[in-house]
Amino acid sequence: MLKVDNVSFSYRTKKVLDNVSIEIEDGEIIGLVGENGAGKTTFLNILATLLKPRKGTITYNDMKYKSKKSAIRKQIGYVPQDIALWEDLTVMENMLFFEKLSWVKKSEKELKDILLDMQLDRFDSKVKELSGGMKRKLNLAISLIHDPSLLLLDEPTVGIDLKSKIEINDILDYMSEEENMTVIYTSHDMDEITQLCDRTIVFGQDPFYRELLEREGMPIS
Amino acid sequence: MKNMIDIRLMLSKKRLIGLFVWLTVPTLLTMGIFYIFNDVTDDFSVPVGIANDSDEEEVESIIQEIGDNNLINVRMIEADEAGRLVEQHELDSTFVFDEQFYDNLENLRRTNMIESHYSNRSLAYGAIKESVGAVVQERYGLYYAKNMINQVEEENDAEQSDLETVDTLINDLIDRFNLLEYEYSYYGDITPVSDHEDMNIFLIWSIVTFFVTLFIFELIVSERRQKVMQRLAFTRYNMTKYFLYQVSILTILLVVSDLIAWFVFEFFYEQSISILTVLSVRLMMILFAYVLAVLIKNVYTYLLVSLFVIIAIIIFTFVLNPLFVTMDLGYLNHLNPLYQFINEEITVYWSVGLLVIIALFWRVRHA
Ligand SMILES: Nc1ncnc2c1ncn2[C@@H]1O[C@H](COP(=O)(O)OP(=O)(O)OP(=O)(O)O)[C@@H](O)[C@H]1O
Ligand SMILES: [Mg+2]
Repeated sequence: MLKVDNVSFSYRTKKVLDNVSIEIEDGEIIGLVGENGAGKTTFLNILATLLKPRKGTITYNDMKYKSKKSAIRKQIGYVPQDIALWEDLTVMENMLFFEKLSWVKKSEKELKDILLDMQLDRFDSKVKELSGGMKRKLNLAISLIHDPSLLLLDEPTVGIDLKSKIEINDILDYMSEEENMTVIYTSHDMDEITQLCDRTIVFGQDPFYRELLEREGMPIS
Repeated sequence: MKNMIDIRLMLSKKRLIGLFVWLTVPTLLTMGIFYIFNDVTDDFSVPVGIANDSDEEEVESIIQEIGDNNLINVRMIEADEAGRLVEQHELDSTFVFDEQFYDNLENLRRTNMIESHYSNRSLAYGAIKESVGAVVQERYGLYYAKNMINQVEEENDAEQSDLETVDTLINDLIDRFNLLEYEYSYYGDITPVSDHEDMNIFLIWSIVTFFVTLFIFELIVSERRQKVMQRLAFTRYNMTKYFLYQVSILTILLVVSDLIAWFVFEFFYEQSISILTVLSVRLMMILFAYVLAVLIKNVYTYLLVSLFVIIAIIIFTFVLNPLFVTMDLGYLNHLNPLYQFINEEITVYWSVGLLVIIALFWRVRHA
């Protein structure tokens, strides 16, 4: 279980998060929504231990973020907003690269299985030759190598075609249903959010998203 | 470590050949520069013909000594071509050591010992004549001294040790030796102008390899900027640890390249320096490149600064350092990171300074 208790954050003088609290059960899918600059990425990076909150506490499975940072990181799969891949290496080389750095050893077959789960079979193509959708899939696949239990994704489906989008959503759904993985992700696609998420957190002052989600009957925390 | 080497290979796959090329560059480029320098030195020297009609070894050795002067490029000729070759301006001037030369030397007959030829275009004739003369003069002095000593011995044998005679002889000898020294130093004064023999091969090497080191570390700067690096937080290696490993791998490669250079220069160029001196300058270069790579985030800025550093070192080494010495500001020489190495000392000051900078950097970041 992930407990966020009264977390606030500001960049120098600019206040971005103000007393955010939420409890998330294992296996839930949570959507983070809000206008540009509302603080979604900031919140996700705090959950990923990459930023420290100015105020408040966070615990994951009773481990305090403050004192158990490296143990918590082993549990986190982080999918950055930017595509973070070696463009000059092939799909498989990218997987092998991070497998070698990873806490968990995986065979080449196991790595291929992760890729096949998301319909990505061009193992030997260079990343720079891949379509946007395939890059997004690989971006996600790498984050799964060390079998995380908490998956944090920043706009994992932005700018890709509907088919790839559905394939990625299927993976997230599968991970939460079958692997009991907690999935927290940001998106501007409200259809996707309402279909996939169990709950949402709305960031920012604009009432637009809140009203829209309420109309759809989506729980907001 | 094996994982780290694996991923280094993976990332450098295309650049692997390039990397090995880079590692041989210090040795090869140094050899090239050294070769050019020596060639230029040959161009500065004056072509001089010498004919040797004597069979004596002593004469051979005199001619050899004349050739040792970098100013003079000796070509052995026949006595009868001596005039013609100068007339045709093939040679600046010619000197003939005839059959009588050795006899004249032994019996201290110093007039007309050597026949010389020169033309109105023999620009260097004055200096060459002085140089040749100085060598012969030195030998002549030795024979003169030998002669005197023999004379003293003979007189002693005859047990007519007339103290006054001995005294005059000794004084004469002393005068003669003083004269020799004077001539010798005069001869020494004109040679250093083009004497490049002191061009230390390790000096060139250290500048080239410093350049290559900074260039190879560009790898660190450009890799650190990659978006993909943000994933390191979720691996066994954080950013610092990852780059420390990478720097270690590069260090090992560079040390191997150093040992190759050391071996080549030691055995093929017979210029020796202690391995410890080489390793200490290598440590300094790694620390220098590391500090630069940590401080500068932009690849182009990094390359520009590296280039500037190398130019500064070249200026220091060849212009400022000699200047500082004559101006009595010797301590300023240590602004040149290679100064201790060039003087064949173990590089200490710069390494300590760089380590202090790295320590400060860590403190600031972890505070
Ligand atoms: N490193 C930073 N320094 C200062 N301000 C920042 C920094 N990063 C983000 N901000 C500001 O903090 C606010 C929240 O940014 P954040 O990236 O979390 O928004 P977001 O909800 O992810 O927006 P988007 O939908 O565009 O991705 C923005 O106003 C942004 O300008
Ligand atoms: Mg964002």
